[in-house]
Amino acid sequence: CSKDFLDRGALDAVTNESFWETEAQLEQAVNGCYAYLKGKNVVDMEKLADNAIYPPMSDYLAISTGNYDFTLGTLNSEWANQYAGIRRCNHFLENYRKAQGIRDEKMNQFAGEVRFLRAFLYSYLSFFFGDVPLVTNTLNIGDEQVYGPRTPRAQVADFILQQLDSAAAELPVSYDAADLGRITKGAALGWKSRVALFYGKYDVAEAAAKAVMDLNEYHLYTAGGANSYNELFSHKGRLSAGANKETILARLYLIDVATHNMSRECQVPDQTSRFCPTQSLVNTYLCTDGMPIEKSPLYNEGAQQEYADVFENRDPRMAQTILAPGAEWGGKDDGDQDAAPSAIFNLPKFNSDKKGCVTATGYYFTKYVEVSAVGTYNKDQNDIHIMRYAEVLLNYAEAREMQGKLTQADLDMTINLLRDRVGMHHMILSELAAWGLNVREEIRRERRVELALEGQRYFDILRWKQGSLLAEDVKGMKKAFVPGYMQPYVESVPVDADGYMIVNSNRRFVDPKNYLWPIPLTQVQRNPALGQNPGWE
Amino acid sequence: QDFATAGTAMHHVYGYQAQRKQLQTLGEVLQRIEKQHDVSFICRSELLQLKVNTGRQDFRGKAFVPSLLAVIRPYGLKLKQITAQQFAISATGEFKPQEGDNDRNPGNGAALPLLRPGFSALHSAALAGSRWSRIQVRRITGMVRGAGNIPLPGVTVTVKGTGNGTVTDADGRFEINVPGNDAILLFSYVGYLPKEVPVSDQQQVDVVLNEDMRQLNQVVVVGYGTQKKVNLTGAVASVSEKELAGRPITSMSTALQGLLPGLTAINNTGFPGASNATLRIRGTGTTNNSNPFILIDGVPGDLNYLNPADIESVSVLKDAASAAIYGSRAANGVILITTKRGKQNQQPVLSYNGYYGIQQPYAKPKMLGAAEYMEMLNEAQRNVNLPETYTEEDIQKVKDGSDPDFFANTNWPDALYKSYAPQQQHNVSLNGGSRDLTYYLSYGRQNQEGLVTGDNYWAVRNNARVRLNALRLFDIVDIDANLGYIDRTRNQPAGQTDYNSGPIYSSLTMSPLNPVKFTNGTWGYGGGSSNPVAMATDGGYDQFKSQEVTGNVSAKVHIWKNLDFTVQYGTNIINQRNAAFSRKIDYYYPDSGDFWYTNATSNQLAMRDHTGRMENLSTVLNYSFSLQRHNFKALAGYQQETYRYESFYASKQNFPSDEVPVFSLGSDNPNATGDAYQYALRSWFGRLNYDFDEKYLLELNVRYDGSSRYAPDRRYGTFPSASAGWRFTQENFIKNSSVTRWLSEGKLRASYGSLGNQYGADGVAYSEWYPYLEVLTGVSTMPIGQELTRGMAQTTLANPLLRWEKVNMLNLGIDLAFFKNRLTFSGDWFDKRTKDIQLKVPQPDVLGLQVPDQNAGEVSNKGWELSLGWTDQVNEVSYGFTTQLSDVRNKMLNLGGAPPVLDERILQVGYPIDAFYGYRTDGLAQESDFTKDPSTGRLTPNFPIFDADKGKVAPGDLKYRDLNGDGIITADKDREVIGDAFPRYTYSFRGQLGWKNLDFSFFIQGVGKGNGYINSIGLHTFQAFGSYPQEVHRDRWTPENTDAWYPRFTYLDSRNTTARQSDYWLQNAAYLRLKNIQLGYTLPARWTSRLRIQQLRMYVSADNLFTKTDYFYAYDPETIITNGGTYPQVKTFVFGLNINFK
Repeated sequence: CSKDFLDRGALDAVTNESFWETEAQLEQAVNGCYAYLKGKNVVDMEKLADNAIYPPMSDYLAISTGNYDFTLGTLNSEWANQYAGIRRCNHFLENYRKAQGIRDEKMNQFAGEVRFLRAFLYSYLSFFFGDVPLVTNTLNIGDEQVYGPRTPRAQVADFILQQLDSAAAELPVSYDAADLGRITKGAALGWKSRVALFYGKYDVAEAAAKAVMDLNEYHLYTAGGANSYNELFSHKGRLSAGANKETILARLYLIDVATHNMSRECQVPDQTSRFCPTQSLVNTYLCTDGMPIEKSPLYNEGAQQEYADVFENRDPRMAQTILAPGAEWGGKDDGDQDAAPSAIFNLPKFNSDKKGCVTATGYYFTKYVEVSAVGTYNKDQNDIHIMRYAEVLLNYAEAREMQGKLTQADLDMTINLLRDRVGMHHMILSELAAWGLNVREEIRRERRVELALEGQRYFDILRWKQGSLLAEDVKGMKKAFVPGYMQPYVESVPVDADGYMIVNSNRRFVDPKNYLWPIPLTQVQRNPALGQNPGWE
Repeated sequence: QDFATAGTAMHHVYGYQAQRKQLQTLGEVLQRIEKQHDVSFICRSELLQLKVNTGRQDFRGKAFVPSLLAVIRPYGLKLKQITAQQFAISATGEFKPQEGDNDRNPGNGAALPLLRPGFSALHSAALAGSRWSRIQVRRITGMVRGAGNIPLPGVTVTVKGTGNGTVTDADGRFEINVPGNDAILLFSYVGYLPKEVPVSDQQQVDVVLNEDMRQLNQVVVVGYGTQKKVNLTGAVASVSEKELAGRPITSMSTALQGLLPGLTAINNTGFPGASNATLRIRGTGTTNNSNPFILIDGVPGDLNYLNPADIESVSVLKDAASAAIYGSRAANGVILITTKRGKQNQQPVLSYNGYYGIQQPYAKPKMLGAAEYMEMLNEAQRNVNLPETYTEEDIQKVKDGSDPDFFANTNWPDALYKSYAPQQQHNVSLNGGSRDLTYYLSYGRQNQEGLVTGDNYWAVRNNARVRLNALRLFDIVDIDANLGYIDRTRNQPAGQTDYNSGPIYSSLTMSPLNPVKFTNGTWGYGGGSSNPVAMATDGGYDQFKSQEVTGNVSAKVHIWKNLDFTVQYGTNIINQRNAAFSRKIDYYYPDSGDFWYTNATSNQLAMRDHTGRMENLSTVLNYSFSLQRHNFKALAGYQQETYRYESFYASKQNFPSDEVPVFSLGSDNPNATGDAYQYALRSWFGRLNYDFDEKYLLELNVRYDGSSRYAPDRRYGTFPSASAGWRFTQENFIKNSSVTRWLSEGKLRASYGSLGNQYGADGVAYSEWYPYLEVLTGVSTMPIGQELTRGMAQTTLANPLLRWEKVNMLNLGIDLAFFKNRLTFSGDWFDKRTKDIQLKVPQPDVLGLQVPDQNAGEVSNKGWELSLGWTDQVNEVSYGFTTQLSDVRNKMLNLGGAPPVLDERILQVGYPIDAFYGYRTDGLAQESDFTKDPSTGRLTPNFPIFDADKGKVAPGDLKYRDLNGDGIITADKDREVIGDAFPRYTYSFRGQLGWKNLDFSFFIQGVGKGNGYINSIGLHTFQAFGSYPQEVHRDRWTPENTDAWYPRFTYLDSRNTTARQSDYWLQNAAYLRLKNIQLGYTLPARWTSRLRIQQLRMYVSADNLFTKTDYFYAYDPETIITNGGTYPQVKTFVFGLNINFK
């Protein structure tokens, strides 16, 4: 009958008191925080905007159409997930200094990684919801802060930027292979440029982007020759393959350990593609002469006879992003007359006979598709690139332009590097002026093209205050290009005045309401002090 | 009656006292005395065969005469001394004419009158043709049987008015001497109604006794002991093996359904080897673990996998007073299971009972054919402005079967289910004992096959049990050793069977256009969902094996008169392993043979190994004494329990052969994890029973409990209770009144007490087992350095303030018996209040961790239970019924100030726990509910809608009701409680009828009120991928069919479905079910006795034969929440055999 008979402690856990002692423990705690680094979800967010669509109802489509309310599940899961990650980071930052005798360099790295992750999570929270409670310490039940009000968005933004500065100071520029995937100084600076751009702090964005460029650590991926842009998003471009010096921040995957379903979703060979490129995205690509389709002599809409014509004479990134006739694909039977599987894509498929991948818009993505991963559900181990050097270059150019400081030299050290990689005509200020094009618009176009299917378009639309774009009907290819034998399957699809299929309509975007998400019902119910965003009350 | 309780009753519950009673023939007794004392006896030879009960007499003392007299006198015998060494034994009155004997006080051993010589000595046999033969003492033989014509051993047979008596032997046979021609034989037996049989001149009297269904006189197992039912002051329900016999029961929890008022068993699956019956005693008392505390022979255990044939009795302790002795564990009520033990002084009896039968699915979804599906899909897409998928030409392909690979017409549930599957069970037991040692050995095997093609569903269970009782060891100790072993295996397809995965679910997600197999013989496929038949057949297996040893040994030391001490050690060791081997299924294009799809990158073996060890030690001191008519019983005890669970999991991929899944052959992705937890409990308890003349009854209990779940300063809780009873029929004013002509027994009961519960809300191990500790555990993270990486993090907040959950319960009850106990009635009313519920009060998510349990809630359960029984016999027909009705109203009283959880199942003060919460609806919108724009033809609804639905609402959509009248439907302002999932008014009716060798019984059971909700593809079509239309969907809204049940089809848009929970989709889960019907026939003993067969009964039985309900046709009304992926409930038909050999 010993007194400690009832002392039955944990058998599969370590108490907080006995943790935080060794370097290995700290590293494990840091690793725990990486669980909240966003992954394929980043790409899915492409469906919030006007680059890609999957027409049947889904949460992201509901948000993009504006037809949703505060009960939508995604709202609450985004809220709860980011705060769960923030709590984990706060717990680390409050405790890690208890460990003794660890090299400063390592301590700084750990702190920098976690600080970055916390700032990263707050970025999404503030992008989505605007004002959010700023919690920088671990909370307990009964703490006043649990039921506290929201912190103004500007204050949250300042916190994020300040934390990213600290992280940049603490983090190393690079790691050994064993630490592949960890947050670097470049990631902190690059992310800072993205956040600063979002909040209109162009000088900050410019400086941060320039700081990344000056690290001289990152270079555009060119190992794939002319096809490098596409290859970056394939297995060859994975960070672990060694050739990629472009990606600054990625969520890593590993076959049968952590996988996603990206390739299959793009070209699923017996259903409808979950990512159908929109006509709006297709129309964004310049012609090879550097002129938009409305102006380029290389593009004569009236003269186009068939589907393949749309891909003629376009920015090479178009065919490396959107599946062009003649390209290899994993979707099996395409829309050609026979019903036999084919490794080469020719025509879009509209009939759901399970023999091949169907598209709602007439287009498919090839970017992010690893053909070998299409045949199996959820067995894709491609990196999800959250931030790459190309974006930093774009951030720099945009920040310069917004401050009215853009020079041709700026373009040459940024956007024209991107164009060089694919062999595209340079962006030349004088030319743009001569063609009557708006520089700002062209820089934005460049961003949309370069970063298509990387989950950034929605946030760009928000910060450019172009919400009205989301209220427009979503369109697909010209119905007339659908071959006669396939016509019965698009018969019921309405078309616009120019003959383009209308894939999604009845959309709305209310300014300013739709620039922010509503605070989720669950959270409002649990803490009425949160209030609600304008228009959502 | 006294005889029954004192006789060599087979009911071990009398414990020690009963077992000392000895049944011997008079001849044996006399022989023993002759040897010991060098004397001789003479008597009539037939008297030597008379069975007498020697009680505690051992005749060793010099004065054996008073002892012998005491033994024989109840049988109407006298003892006379003839010489110093010679005695004569005769029936009373035999000597009257000669001697004028007036042995009025034989018990005092006074001088015995000398008997004149002339009797034969004991060894010289009978006095044939002596003058004694004219005396009218006749020998009558006979047999006593009980229900089902089972011979009853140990029945007391007495001649009314004489005290002459005997007891039936192991075969139910008896012999008795009856004086005169108009004697009346009185038969009595514990648990049976006594019976009087007048004897005229027959030599053979065969009797059938009726079970005393009301069991007022029975002894009931209560916490740490037994109690006569008449003396119970708490609310205790019990059943014995008789109620359980003969039914094809796969698990005990299922068997208890409807048998015990106040115990609700919800059983909704026919899954082989599963025991999904949820047991609730008096409702759901807490938001947490509401499972009753189950003790098997005094040791905590799991009743589901016990062999039902091994069970002797089940008691359910419902109120606080009865359960309080188990204080800490008893908040949800207690179920006490007593297993069988060997019978004393019985030759070995070998019993076989078994059955073989078939199972059929209770119901399955009726899917529509491919052509109709295609037309409906087009309609569903058209309705939401999406392009139609199929052309007329495509539909024609299905109709003419011209493209069987891509335009097939498959009914997937039909393809997956077999029409029936066998099920069988066989039990063999051996039972018997001597005076000092009894044994019970049993072995049972149950084999259940599944209803799914591919034969990957099956379960086998082997149960073995050995129970040995050594009595009177060193004259003071009784030892009870009980060892049980369960070995069971449950197999299912590798994908398991979940409500939203596995082949059963997938059969609803597979397009009818896909064939089971392509024309070239390979597995059919069509995208979107894996072929469920392929999964069930070739997908590999998931096999769960469990070996469980339960052992308990107890020693009862009879320290002093009425003082005994019991120490019991019990352990339960569980070894379980789940091995899942999933095979890669590749699908190929039927025409080209090209690879199409595969479900995995390679085959995979995953094993999880669990071990658990529970150890329980208890000591109990019992003392009882009487002061005149004041009877006291006192009990004090100590108990401790420890439990330790450990598991590890390993997996590997890529095995070269699907036939040899062994880890050493796998090459990729080795992975291993594991976890463990432990707990300990320590308790002291005491009980005091007092009664005055069995008329005024009082019981007091207290338990002091400690649990390792709480911080050291909060570990202990005290749980007291009191109960009282008044047997008003014992009062003279009733006894002496005419009321007794119809009222045989009456008792009022009242109890109040406090119970505890240590179990919190379900969660990860550490939040359950040491919630007061702040800990970090392994968490998954992203691969770093191209390696699988694990991290450490805190995932749940700790709560060092957590303490016991407390239940206070008031119980009032009445027990009545009428017409010589043939009609019985029992009623109880209770008010149960659970306080300090360990509740995960939802917090704003800025907290960032899973919330810990807090002592926050308060729940009230008020209810009542009624049961009424009748049993009687008219000539050769015995019949009876028992009916029960009970109700519990559950209500959340307090949530600790936390805001209500407004989800589809809510927690809100004033409402039942987990009540259905949703919108109110006004049916389907018709065109008249819209305003039509004459120019564009656009329809604008004239009723409130959701803002998110703007522009989409059309005729045929559900009309939601604007509860707050603000003109718009919103989730925060227009929802309310729409239904209660907990069954109300549960009832049962059980009837039985016996005529000669035939027996018939039926059992009806049901729920009077309740709600269910079928979600997603279980009920809907076109609301998600792979949700295909069922026959009922023909009745959807179209402009031509405006009076429809189902809203218009809206492809992949769930506005009108259960995704928005509303009263429109709430199911009425009330039902009435013929749970079991059974007909048995016992072969006449004269046919079978030569084969040493004591009894041979054959029966046919059917379970779930008939159900009347308004529930959705495809699922069982006890499945109140489903997505359609649950294994179906089954109907069973069996043929069974019970044989006893001796």
